[in-house]
Amino acid sequence: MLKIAAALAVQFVILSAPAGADQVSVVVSRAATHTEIYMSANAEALFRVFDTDTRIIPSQDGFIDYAGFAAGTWGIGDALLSDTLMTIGTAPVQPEAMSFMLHPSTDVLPFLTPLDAMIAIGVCNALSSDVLYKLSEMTGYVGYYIDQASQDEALNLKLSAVLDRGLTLHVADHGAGHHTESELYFAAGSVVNLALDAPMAKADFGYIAVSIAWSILAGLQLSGLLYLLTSR
Amino acid sequence: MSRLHSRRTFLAGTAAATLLPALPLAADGHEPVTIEMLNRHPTDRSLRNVFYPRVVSVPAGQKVLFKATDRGHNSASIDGMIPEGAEEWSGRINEDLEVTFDVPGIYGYKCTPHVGTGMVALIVVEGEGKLDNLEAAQDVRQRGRAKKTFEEIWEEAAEMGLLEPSSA
Repeated sequence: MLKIAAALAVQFVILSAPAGADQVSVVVSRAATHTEIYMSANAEALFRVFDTDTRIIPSQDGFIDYAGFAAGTWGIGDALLSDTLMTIGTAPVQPEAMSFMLHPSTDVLPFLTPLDAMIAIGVCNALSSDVLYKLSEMTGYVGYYIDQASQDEALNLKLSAVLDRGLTLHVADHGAGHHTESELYFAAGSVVNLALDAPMAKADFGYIAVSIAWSILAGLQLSGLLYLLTSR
Repeated sequence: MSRLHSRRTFLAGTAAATLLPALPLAADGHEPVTIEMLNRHPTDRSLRNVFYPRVVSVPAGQKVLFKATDRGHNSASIDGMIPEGAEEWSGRINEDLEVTFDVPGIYGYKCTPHVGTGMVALIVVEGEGKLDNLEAAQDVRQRGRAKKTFEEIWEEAAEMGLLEPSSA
């Protein structure tokens, strides 16, 4: 019971995020055989954070050209991470983009669980839409597949670019039945170097910490009881 | 592992159950076997962007209808995953497509925009030499989640007995 409570505990590391900071949501899914990482943000912010030219998005007269997505969008996803170093533990890994999708920011999709994220990168109704959008009006969703498990190891991302404005990252990390959430802030002028410990490891640490706390509390109670009994 | 196995068995079972009623109609090749292109699996809601059923066996000469039940999908053969002499195909997104499978063999196919998310499937066309391109098809490098999906598909096809030589 304690272990479950510890595993589900939400961890927030919030360092004052000023207005105007870019915000990126990250969902990590750690399976027994592979790892998936998904990201979501205002489309322009996503390209800014990863220092990638937005001209890779098919467009016509300033509006997104949906037909350009019909042959698949993993090339856009791969371009976003092309200068990002990713490792599991200390071993470099090669993430492969599964899909990149744009959805109007007026209708932001849920993005907390791996299933939310898979739906967000998989649903594409744009090809049947008559409404034209500019990139600034869209939220980008991208997902990557890594052919390596990370249930017991840290997943690390090091971006190459220096941030030209602050960045708030909301990370939902899922693995081996455990789930943690955290929020991190990187100041303008810094380089994002992100180390995401496996949720199980965090949960075990939480379990140990809570167990120790209970032990101390129980010890104190026992001492108090003994004192009361012996002091009479 | 046992959970995965039971899920595969379940999926294979539902695929087989879907296919069985179609086979008598399919025998003469006039009525197409239908494979739906869906945003989510009809019974396993955690599976998104799927061909249903995703493993199908048909006789040579059989027509298959890829039905655009949900929007955003197409069907296209995967390079290196069709037998020698067979014709490639690539349907338009949001449109039905009918393909006739004349050459026995293993046919791997994909939804072009969703292959990375694992929207791939397999058709086995029965007849002499149907396994001639099995090894080549299994050697094709897959992108993203399609790797995992094909691992499941090969197991599912083996469990259904489709990777044994044709008795005919």
